[in-house]
Amino acid sequence: MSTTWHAADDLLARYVRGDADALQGASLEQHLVQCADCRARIATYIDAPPLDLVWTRIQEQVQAPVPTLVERVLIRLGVSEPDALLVAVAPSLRASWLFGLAITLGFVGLSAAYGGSRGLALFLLVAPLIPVAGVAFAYGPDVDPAYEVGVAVPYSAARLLLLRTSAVLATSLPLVLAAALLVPALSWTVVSWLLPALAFTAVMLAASTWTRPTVTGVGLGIVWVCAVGSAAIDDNPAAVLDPPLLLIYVAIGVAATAVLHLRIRRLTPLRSLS
Amino acid sequence: MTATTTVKLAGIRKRYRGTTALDAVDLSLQPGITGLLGPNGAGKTTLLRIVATVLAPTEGHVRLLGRMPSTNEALAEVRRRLGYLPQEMGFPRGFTGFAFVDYMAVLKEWTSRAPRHDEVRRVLELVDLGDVAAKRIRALSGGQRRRIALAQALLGDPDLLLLDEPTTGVDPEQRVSLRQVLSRAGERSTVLLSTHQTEDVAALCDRVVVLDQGRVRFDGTVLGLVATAAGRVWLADAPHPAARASWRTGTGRHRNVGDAAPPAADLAEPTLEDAYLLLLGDRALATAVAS
Amino acid sequence: MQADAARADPELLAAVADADLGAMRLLYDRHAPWLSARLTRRCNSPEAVADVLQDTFMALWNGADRWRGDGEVAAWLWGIAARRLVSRLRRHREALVLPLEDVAAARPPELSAEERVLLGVEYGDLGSALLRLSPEMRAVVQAVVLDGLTTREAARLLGVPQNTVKSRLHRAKAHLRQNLAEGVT
Repeated sequence: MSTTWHAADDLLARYVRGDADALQGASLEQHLVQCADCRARIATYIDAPPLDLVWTRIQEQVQAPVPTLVERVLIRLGVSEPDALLVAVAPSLRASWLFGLAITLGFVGLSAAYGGSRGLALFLLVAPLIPVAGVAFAYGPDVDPAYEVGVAVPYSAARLLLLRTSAVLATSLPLVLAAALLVPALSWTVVSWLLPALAFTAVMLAASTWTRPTVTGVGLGIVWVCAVGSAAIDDNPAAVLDPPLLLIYVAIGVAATAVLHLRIRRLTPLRSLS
Repeated sequence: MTATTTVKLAGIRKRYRGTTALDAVDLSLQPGITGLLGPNGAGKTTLLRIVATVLAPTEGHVRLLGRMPSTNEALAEVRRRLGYLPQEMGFPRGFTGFAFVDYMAVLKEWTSRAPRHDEVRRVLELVDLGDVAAKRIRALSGGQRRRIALAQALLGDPDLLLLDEPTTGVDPEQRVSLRQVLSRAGERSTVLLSTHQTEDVAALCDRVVVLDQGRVRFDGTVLGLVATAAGRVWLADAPHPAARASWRTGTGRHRNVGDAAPPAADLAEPTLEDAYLLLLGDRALATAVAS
Repeated sequence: MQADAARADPELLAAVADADLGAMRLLYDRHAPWLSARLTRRCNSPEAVADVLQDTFMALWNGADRWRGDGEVAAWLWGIAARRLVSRLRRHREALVLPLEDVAAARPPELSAEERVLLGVEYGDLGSALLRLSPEMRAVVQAVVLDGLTTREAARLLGVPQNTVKSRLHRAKAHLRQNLAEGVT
């Protein structure tokens, strides 16, 4: 192939207009693939605006963040696009967390099914703490690297917390329920763990008007470990789900919800940041 | 020319577990760029956080953009017109630069996708990161990450822009272009720029506030602060023991800052840094040496 | 600006593999014009050309690390664009224009001095020999030989079975060989 031959301006113009015959066109096309100079020259005969328009489309397609699986599911369920984005950012709502959760619960369920009393204790220990962990890892300075700048925004912190908590409950409760179905023993155990789970979630929300969710989560974890632990020592782990205690859980849940309602305006922690 | 006071702090005190971070701070800010200078631990970040509505003072009154941010509605109103760049900022895992600024734009109530993406592109162009917007943040340099953080503060062209060490880690050429961005922002908005780099203040700010150990030591114009060093800066052939600070300059002579004139010295034109050193002495010097 | 012009296509391609949108913008400015012209000569619809152009550069963005460094970036880009055109035409039957088809109708066999030079330099005797082929054969040669499509892609493009493409190509090559051997100019 020649390196010194270049297409005449007239040929370029005719080619762009569509007036060059097939052979000239094919010949020019084979040349253009090899010659940067002629490629630059032919550009001067071509309208820029349509090409610029395509570029803006390319730019948008490249830059626009790709919705994650969680986001797509939320949008399919009717959540608005911006809300889905805000929810899916939370660590406990990412696919990796949910996958790990499923594995953990599989293990817990199986140990409850075949592990006798200790297996049951493990399940009762873990079940109500799953949503607690989910909320603790959905919000707050310990889990959100951009927390501080996220405080100085007009978006309602209450709305963000409630949205994410709902998503945590919607994802974790069915998984725990699936594991619960593997648990033998009392029929009510299958669902009665929901009461402490929901009560603790309400406490997490109410306490977030005072302190960081991770702190509350750890506190609740310690309390529950002691409760299940002492019941397990007496070889009756299901005692934590006795009817009188169930009523207490309901009471705690109701009280925490009331406190949350009263203090919801104080959700942005204006006190000490760290 | 009547300038509206956009930020008014009165009697601000902030106590943390026994230490007093801010003590009886009064401050008034107007549109334009005000520098906030001070050594490490002076309380600059605490003050900036209070103005950014991220922290509440222990005592005192805050008035921002004509409102007292005591109710949630007032807070949201103020935050709509505010941009904040914290001293340290992390980013969510796996995000590209564009995705992060987009996320912040959603938090700033840009609900429609197309206008929001246009605005994200606009602020990324302002900080000269349009080309790398599609890269993951973890693949960006420290200076580029700082510029991403600045970009989110510029979303929506805020009336109140609060910047804590915006040029840290940014290389010199980029620093010049960032100064242009901030200078333009200062034409319309109120900018409070906290830094320990006197060159940034000298280049950008009309007014300066010097903070030390939680108290305001100077509040006035940059020229006014520089003027306090007039007649107290000399160039000599040797460092003078009685000088507040002295160092060898590139020309081989020694710059001496202090009240006593060294022998055989020429008076030098004072800079902002000289005035700052004279004002704060040892503590300022320690910070300057460390940085 | 000068610094941008000095960066060769392979260097820009490496930057695109590293998610540099600015580098892709430069590649776009260099290659989108001629690509769009070449696509337009094969497809009447401006929307189709715009879509194919967008798809081509998105494929570039996602696959920049797959370029093996052999040959011209421009040729690689045309390969992507041609395939995108084919797959788009499978989905929407747009108006298709095959330049070699209307040679006989549009132009008399007399070649101007300039055309002689063109053909002589770029194709040697092949060019005029092509003129003597039937339109169907020319279309096949255009698609397979000049545009670099596989016989299957050419079959999709032309709307004929793959075997037909193969046999036409075979006959076309035989004709060309015969014409060249006869020394026809």
